[in-house]
Amino acid sequence: MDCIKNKKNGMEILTDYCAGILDPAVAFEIDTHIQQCAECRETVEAQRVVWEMLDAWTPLEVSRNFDARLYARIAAEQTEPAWRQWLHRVFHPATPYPLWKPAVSLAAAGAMVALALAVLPGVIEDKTPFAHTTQPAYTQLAHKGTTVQNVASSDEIDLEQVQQALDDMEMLTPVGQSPSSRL
Amino acid sequence: MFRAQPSSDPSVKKDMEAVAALERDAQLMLRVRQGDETSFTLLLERHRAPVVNFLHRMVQNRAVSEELAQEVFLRVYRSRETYEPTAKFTTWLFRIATHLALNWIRDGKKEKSNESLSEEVSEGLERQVADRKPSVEQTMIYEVKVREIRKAIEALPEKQRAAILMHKYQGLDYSQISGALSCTESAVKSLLFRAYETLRSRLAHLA
Repeated sequence: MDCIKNKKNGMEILTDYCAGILDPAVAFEIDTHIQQCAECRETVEAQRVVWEMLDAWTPLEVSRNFDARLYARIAAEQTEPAWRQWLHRVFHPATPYPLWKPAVSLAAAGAMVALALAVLPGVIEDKTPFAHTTQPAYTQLAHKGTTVQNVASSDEIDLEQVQQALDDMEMLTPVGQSPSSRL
Repeated sequence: MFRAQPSSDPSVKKDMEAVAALERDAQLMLRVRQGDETSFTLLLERHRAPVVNFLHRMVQNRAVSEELAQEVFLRVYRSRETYEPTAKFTTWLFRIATHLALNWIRDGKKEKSNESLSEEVSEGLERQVADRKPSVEQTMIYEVKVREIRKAIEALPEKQRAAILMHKYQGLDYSQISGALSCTESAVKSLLFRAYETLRSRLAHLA
């Protein structure tokens, strides 16, 4: 048999074996195994030592007036007004109500709403054409007297600016060479 | 034809008795809900000592443990009208006890209540050697041993401590401990193995 200790639930089996709560057939298998496996034998022995040592801490006797004190408290509580008994039940429940669960749900819902409010206006704005440019791109290019072809591709052409650009090009022509002489 | 016969296997008999006891607790609590005070007395009779001892080992103070145990049973009685047997009664009871003990420890009240060990040690030793009066040497050895065990358990993280006390002294199984600690069974196993590992190394010198 492979080493029990190194199995996935090996320690659980060995602890249950020491506690004496295993099925007798399984316990017998472990009995046989630990005779051959030194590692498991050491673990079982160490666990048994701890288990027996803990037995030394014996339970205490409960005070004799424990019940009487409890019944007195119950009786005192029953004479209280109904609203006060209700408060006891609400603020001192038998088992704690996990308050963090609804808090987490509320926080998640709040975060989603906040995110939606932050993102949605931006998405709506982005759908407007040239929303982010204050001046059309082609006007900037035309002023610099550069690529006019790019400007021509635009649907909205300012004819005055085109004329201005053409005049600028003519001015750059060397002196003595009229446009007609080049023809 | 199949006929049911009582099993002669003692482990089966023990299991059957355990199942019957669990059902009995839930039935008693349902009777308390209907106004039967005697059923509450029976429940108290059955669970008083285990709850007090669990709390005593958790908080390590006799007076505080009895006070907390009173609060446990008071809360059980208060919730009689809303009680539903969805979980085992013992699991529910130890869930209340664990919650109160952990709250008490987290509130930092532990520092204010230093308890003398001597009374407890003499009481425990008398029970161990009931047939004769313990010698001075026996008393000293026992006192050292119990002190070391208490210190080792007290040094464990709260949840590991609660898990090991329920496992070792109350005999609760993994599912009951997970119910009492409100965590998964695998988390309980992990808590227990780490706790036993720590105790093995801390108590090795006493062996």
